[in-house]
Amino acid sequence: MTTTPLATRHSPLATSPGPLVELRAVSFGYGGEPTLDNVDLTVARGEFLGLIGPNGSGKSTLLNIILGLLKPTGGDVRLFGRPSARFGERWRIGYVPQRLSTFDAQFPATVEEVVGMGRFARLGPFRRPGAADRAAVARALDWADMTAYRERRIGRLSVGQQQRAFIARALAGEAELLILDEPTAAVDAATQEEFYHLLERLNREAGLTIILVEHDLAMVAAHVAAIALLNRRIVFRGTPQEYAARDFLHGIYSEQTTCAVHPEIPHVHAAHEGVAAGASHSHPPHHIRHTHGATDPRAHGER
Amino acid sequence: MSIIELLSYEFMQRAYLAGIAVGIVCPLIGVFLVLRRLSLLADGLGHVTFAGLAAGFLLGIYPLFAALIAAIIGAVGIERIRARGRIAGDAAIAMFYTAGLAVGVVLVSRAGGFNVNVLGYLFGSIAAVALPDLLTVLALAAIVVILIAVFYKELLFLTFDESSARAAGLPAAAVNVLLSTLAAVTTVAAMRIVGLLLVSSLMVLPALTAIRLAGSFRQTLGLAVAAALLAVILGLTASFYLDTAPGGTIVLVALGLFGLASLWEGRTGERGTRN
Repeated sequence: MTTTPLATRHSPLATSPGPLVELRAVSFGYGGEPTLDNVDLTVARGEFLGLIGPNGSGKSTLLNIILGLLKPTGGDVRLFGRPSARFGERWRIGYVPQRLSTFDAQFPATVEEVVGMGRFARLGPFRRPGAADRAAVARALDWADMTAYRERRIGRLSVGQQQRAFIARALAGEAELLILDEPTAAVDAATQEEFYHLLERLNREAGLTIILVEHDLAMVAAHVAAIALLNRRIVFRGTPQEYAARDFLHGIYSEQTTCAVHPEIPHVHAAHEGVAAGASHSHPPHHIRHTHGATDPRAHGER
Repeated sequence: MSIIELLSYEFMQRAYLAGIAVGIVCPLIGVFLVLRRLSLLADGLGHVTFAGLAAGFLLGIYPLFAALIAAIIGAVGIERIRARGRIAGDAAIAMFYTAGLAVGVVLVSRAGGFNVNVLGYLFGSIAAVALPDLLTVLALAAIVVILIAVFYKELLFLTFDESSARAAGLPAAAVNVLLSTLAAVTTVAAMRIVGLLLVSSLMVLPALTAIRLAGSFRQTLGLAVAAALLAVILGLTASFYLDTAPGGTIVLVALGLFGLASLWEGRTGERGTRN
């Protein structure tokens, strides 16, 4: 396997200190309950973070806020040390979208054309790709081990190969922060392993900062150095080992623990459990109140 | 009559020249529209353009100019409604489509009804390409080709994967408006030859043909232009000999080419998906 150096470290601000992503009290929501509520999250340069949250935890919203596709309704977002609204060099964040949701398998582009797109934003308007861009594309293909497939139509590759092509696209743009949205959904275990191995190399050898968004902690715990659990707010931030040691919340998916995380908005969970939606929000039903105790680890054993 | 004699007619020379220009721009725009699932946009724009045309007749404005204004207003309007997201893209197109037709029919009936002139714009006419029309068509086609070349990378990225393109910082809203405006300009350029009701076919069919066969995006654009040029040249020639409306004849040839491509893909398609 090749190790042609990626040019990420040569970026003028690559040496700037401070976190790449800094969210302070970020909220999102219009009326009713917020999708995100007071999220604080800091991602340092060089980190490999698993951002874990069940469906409905607000992780897509959080992702879109970091990517600048959504504006938070409250709080403060800083990217590479600058306020998000004034951060113009968006290509420094490489985004690998959830495959199935974004592109059309019939799209008649080759892998090389797709990877080349990673250069476009960096080039800016009115400029055509040149030799430097072609070299960056070749390096990126090399890293993602996709050189052999460069002339193949993207839709005619396996899902795992398509994911690697999308990684290569982010690498071609010389992204410093890689954000992947549930990249291994719909691929087999062996392909997943290969994929995580590639991410680990990119993190260690190329110095890329990585945020890996997944809904299942078990999938990433063995690969990432740090995790953040999201359920409308950050409910845990630390290493997978610390999380295991705390024996804190058996699963943030179950109703009672979701409630424990969110005692202030019990009405959702009331609806979950089939309690009439008409129940007064200000007076949660008794059994919901009871589950508040689950915040306390001692209460856990009683259940 | 031989082809040589055919080409000695000045009106046929103008028809072929305009046809070639149209055969280049329609598929270029068409590839982007088809891949963005906006195939019906061209149809909607055709009908909005009809309203502008009718207004031109009624007010005595140069019809291509009136049509161009209406088409651009329609394109920007559809795109803005689509982008705002309150009305779905297809519904926005349907709204403009029917409104354009209604306004056009009312204005045309005020302007003296559906005469040969109006029908020529709706279905295309070989004999109708006057010199000012030809020059207008060539100028509009040149503008479209140049703008596609200049914004090729933005158009490609946004067409492939809009959310990633936006996340990377490409000016999505502006490029989307540009694409629909270019579709509007193309519609006006093509209406003399293929007619407003059939413009969309010359955008969509060659694009679909090329998407089936091409190995890359660049090749898709090239093949789409080749298919459209073939359809225009064969169609115009056939329409002269058979005395049929050129628009319909061209579109039937384009449809035939699409059929051939599908057969070809059916026979060789396995190859691409294996290994």
